[in-house]
Amino acid sequence: MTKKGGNKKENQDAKKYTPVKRPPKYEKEGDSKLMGNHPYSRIIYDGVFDWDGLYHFIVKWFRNRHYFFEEEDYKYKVPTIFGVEEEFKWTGWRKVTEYYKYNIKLEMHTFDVRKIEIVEKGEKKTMYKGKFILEFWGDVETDYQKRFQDNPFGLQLKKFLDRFIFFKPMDNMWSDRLHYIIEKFEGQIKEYLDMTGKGNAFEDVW
Amino acid sequence: MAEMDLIIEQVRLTYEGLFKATDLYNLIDNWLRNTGYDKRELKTIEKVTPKGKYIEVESMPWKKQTEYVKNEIKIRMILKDVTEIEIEKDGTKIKMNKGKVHFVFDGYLTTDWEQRWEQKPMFIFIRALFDKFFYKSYMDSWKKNLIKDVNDIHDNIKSFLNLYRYK
Repeated sequence: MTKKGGNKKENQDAKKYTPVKRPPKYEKEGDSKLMGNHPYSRIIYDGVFDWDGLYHFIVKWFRNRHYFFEEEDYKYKVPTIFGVEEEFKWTGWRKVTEYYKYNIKLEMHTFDVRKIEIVEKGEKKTMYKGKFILEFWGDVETDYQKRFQDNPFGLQLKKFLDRFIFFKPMDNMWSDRLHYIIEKFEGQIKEYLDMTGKGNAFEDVW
Repeated sequence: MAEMDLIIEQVRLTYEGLFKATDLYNLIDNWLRNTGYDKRELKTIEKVTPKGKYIEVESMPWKKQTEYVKNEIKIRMILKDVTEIEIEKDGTKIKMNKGKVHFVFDGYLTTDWEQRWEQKPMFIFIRALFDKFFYKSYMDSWKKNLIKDVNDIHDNIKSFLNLYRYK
């Protein structure tokens, strides 16, 4: 008897809650990430470098190639006796066609960076000494205008196009091109930092 | 996920003495370009230590053999205690590097890199069947190609570094 009474109460409580109707959530299809969920490439540097110059170089690189440059995130930690620790997240995006968009993300983490003064060719120069990790990420976004995502039919059409019609151009052209854009960008940063592994035999590709 | 088979493992090369680091780097780049590999640099480390520079470059270039198979070579280049020195040759001064060089090569054969045969369990079964019985002879030739490429880059770097011994 008690069980039946308990069930009734539970049923009454259940009736109070009406299920929430959520708008249909469509997952993106067709976007291509270079290297999946890992950074495409990494530069780890420990030594003396021109921090201001490097920052300007990165911003200029994006601007000269008509990318919209955004600083997504910036963290500054309380400096220790060893130096400053900072974190940056930069994004550059550019529309390639009506359907494709390039996103290039840079994540930089600096450790123990402190100002020093050096004398180069008889002139005093302010430089920075420390360590940093620079990570490159890249992805090709499809249907960035979300034209196909208003209704289920459009979404299915997009899935079909991405999977069967646009598969080859995506593989051979768009993601391959982005791959070399990032590769060249990395090469130029290495050249700016005057690293030993500078130079790129693939400079004229794409 | 595409399947990666490790075909040739831990081919090593060690050298100590004079060399030019940028030329060595360019040699690898040019080899990749000439043999049709696409460049993919995973990691570059450069540190200044009291003994000299420590440089580590890890790259994994790839080359499509067919629509089903691709070669991937993992190259780890480690340069230790690299210092810059000037030598005199025929009356002209040349900037060179001195230090230790260490290379490690691994060759991977990646099958079904387009992930076409992973949509359904039946496809995976068919793929395994084809790999084992029908494509066996083809697989052997693809493996041979990969081994040839790894040995070729190894020999190229070796002969390049050996040239410095007689300078």
